[in-house]
Amino acid sequence: MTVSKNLPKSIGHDEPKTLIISGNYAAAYAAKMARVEVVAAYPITPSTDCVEKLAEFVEDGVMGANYIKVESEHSVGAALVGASATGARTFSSTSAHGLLYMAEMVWWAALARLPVVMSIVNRELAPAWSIWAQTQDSMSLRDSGIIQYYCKNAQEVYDTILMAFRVSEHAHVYMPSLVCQDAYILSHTNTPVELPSQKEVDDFVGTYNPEHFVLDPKNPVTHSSLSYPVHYRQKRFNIMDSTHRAKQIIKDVCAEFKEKFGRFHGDLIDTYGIDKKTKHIIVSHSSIAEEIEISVDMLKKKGYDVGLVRLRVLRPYPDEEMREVCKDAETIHFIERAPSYGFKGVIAIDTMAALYEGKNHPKAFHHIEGLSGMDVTAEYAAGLVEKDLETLK
Amino acid sequence: MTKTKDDFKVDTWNSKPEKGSAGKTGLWRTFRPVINHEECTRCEMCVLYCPEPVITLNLDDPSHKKGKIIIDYDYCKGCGICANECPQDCIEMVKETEFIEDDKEEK
Repeated sequence: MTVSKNLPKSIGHDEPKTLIISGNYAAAYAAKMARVEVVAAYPITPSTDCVEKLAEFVEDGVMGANYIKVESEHSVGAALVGASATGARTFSSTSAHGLLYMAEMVWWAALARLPVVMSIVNRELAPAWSIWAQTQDSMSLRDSGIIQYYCKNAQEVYDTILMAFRVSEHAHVYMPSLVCQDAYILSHTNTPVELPSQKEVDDFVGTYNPEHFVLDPKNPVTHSSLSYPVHYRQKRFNIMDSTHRAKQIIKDVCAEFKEKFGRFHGDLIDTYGIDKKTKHIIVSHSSIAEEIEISVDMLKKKGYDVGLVRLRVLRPYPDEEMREVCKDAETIHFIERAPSYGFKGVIAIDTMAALYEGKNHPKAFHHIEGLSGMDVTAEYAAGLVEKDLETLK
Repeated sequence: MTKTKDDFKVDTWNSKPEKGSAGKTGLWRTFRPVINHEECTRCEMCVLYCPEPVITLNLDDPSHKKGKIIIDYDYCKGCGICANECPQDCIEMVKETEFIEDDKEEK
């Protein structure tokens, strides 16, 4: 069914402009320009700036969203689920414990097929209390069906939020999205971010017209009442199908974004210095990957045949793409911020499962680095890979 | 929104409420409320208190100038709240077994 809409206002973007803003502000500007209709928020460091900026926009009258102030992150999730079910475009931002407190509602949004989009500032979990970067908060929700993007800079955060609305609200997907960035490294570092004009954004993002269901008092439906196993199974397999389909849709949306705005951050994966026969592949994510781009240049100068794959989308996992990139690789080096205690890094686990289904099984080296926002410098990362390769001699 | 060629549809749990979607719950009844229409003052207390709600006042019924109280026995579960609340005490709860013969005749 189609809901006719009066889009909420978003004032002040007649012309494209470049602002020097943080990752949090980039997320706030993206939500504003995507004409989000409902924002529910509860502040938590280091994502507070994003929801504060949104509150400022609404207070200043330049953003027409309904801003719901709630008493906890769990209520944020509940408010967004309710609002999204009525057909509204919804947005919030949170971190670490806030996201885990919201976890029940994140699963609810995913399994109820509600395209809520959230900006997540990845932060370490307590104890001990820490406020610096680490991706376990969002990665612990890996299996909920929610689409997860990991961004390398503030520009990508802005662009990905616009794309996330397109993907999440696609009639074949209807799944929520997390757009993740590293605490402080991105969330509090001011960098130039290019904002297109409002018209360009409107043309790209469009409106949310739910076709699967919408809560409407004039046409009452009960959503998700008790379901027997046979129906439950059917709906869950539908989610499997949708999330697999989302891969192609993400690729299409990224390509369309590139065509319209001239920026491309990779689709499911982002590669750097990779050609068809790269022997040594570094797999990383988030802002670490941007630093490792320099490592790749350094290693290439030393004569190593290396390349970088940045996993941009963790779920749905780009298995075919990863097999294609690694098809002639001899070694694969994981440098990631996300351990799965008792095994290896989360990205390593998923990537190796994907490669198992292919013909080429490169030797893997695992590095958990940058915990609690520890600096992973280009020299350090290059050193890790060099040491790995020395063990082969 | 871009549309792709195949007819894949996102499947969700939606049920639309309508009368009788849970079956005829009147079958659960052990006692049937029977109104003595002679004594009934049409005060509508039973209409107000019925939790289902299956009791209505039919204003157009020709048998009385104030109309007639109607109980929808297809969905009345026989809780007895109407009989308990009736100020005239004119609703009697009668065992369903008393009506077995009547029901057979109706069919």
